[in-house]
Amino acid sequence: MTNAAVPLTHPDKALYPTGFTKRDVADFYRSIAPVLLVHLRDRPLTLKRYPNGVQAPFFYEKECPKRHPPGIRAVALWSAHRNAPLPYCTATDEEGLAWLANLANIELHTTLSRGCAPDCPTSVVFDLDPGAPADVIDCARVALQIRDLLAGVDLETLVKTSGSKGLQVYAPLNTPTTFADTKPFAHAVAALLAKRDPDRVVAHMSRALRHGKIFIDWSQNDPHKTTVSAYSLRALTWPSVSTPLAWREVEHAARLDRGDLLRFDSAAVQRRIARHGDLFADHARLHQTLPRGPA
Amino acid sequence: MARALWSGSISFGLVNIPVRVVGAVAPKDLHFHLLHDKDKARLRQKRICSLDGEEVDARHTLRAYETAPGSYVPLTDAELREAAPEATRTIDIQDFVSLKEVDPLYFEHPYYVAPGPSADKAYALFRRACEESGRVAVGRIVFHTKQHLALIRARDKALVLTTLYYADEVIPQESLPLPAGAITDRELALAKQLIDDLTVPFEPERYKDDYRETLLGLIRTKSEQGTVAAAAPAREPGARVVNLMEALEASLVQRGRGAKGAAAGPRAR
Repeated sequence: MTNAAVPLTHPDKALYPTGFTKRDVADFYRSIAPVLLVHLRDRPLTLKRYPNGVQAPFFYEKECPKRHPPGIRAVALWSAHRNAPLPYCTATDEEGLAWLANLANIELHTTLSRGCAPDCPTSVVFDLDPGAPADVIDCARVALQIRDLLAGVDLETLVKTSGSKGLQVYAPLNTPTTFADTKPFAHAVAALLAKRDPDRVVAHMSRALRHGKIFIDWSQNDPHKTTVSAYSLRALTWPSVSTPLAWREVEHAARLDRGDLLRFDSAAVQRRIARHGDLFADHARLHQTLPRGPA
Repeated sequence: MARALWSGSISFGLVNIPVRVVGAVAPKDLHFHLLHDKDKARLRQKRICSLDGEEVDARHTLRAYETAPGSYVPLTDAELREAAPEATRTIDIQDFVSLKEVDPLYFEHPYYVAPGPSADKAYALFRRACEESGRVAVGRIVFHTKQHLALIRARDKALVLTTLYYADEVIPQESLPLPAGAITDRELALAKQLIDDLTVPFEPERYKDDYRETLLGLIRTKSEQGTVAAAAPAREPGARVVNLMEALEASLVQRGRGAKGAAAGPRAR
């Protein structure tokens, strides 16, 4: 166990039915802090707290608690709902991560923009959600289509598991843009793929139509929405992690039809980071611009 | 247990009982959504300025009190916050009264009061004392930003809190045209006899919401018959998205490496 500067309350409390405790959550986040913090830097978090573990009720918390350690910095974003600025938490160091774990904040959900420029997303995201009986392998095939389509307009993409059922494809931008540009772009990509492959892809929310297909959720390209962060644990029955992947892994899994190759728990993610470093590093450093659309 | 809506303590004299307040009722009214008849899409509400007809963003709104028709006193969020009761964590008991004396007309909304951390003993004692004395506690609780008058009483093994209307919120019955005519003893005896004949123990389970059951039945039937409006085509992308889509398609065709042809992948950069 690492040296706990932020003391955990009830560290031995199992948050997962597998016996994964609050201390395990804190230790996992501390152990991967060097790669995780890059992706959390200056990004407002929506807290999703599971005080009694993943099988008990959770609640969302946007407002950053007033008492927080120096490793948490509050940034104010305008809340249309309250008609006032609302302070959000951003994590800046290991102790901030441990403090979040102590709140039983298992999942880390961040905005696509940074707190200093809330209208400027740093990437475009496509959240691929399979409607049963479609699964992660169907997602993988659609993810590859998105990769290829965007490569056709000179955009490199990254991919990660959602840690739950689907995959997420990101086109890093890190150049000045607005959600007013990224959202219609993402919508156009989703609509184009749905038009080309209507049996496999849908581009609108209606659950009724999602059966057996992959829903490309483009609507998360919005200043008010958050997406699960790379390396976030997920509140499933086991400590699953939203795991950055290499495209060749996605190709490999799709070829072999092996969804299990795209599922990783906290220990597997620690090993992957030790071996391969941060497969999502480009998300924070690749500079790209959206193709110039029609006026 | 349901999530606590409020947690704090019941307080009077030197007594302090940590408690949590949870909902005691879950209304089952059916709610409907408004759809556009043409395309079955959900309708949204917009704030429209009555003067210029323009849509107004939330950050350009003011709260104001209408003092006379067309005449408003605006209040800032800060002023409203300032005036709001302090969000105290105590239910301050002011008096104990006899439940018989409380007119049910004042009852507003019921909640359960559950014992807070390590408060079992104090909770049980308070409940029992209320029960055996036949008294109920009258106090104040701040929910969100509103201060409520509340009544706490023992009900079986639990304590129940019911928010009460303030006396000045009740409309005086003098505003009704009430009769003052004379009634004969014989008429009264007959009426009382009829009431006695129809008197049974109160069993709330016996009364059902027929309207809800009927509507739910209808909804179930229609949904089984496939009369589902949600199956209507979802919102088509707007003109900007369609243009972008066409431009994307065109640029892919132009380069001769569309979604199907880009076997090389994006790594060549």
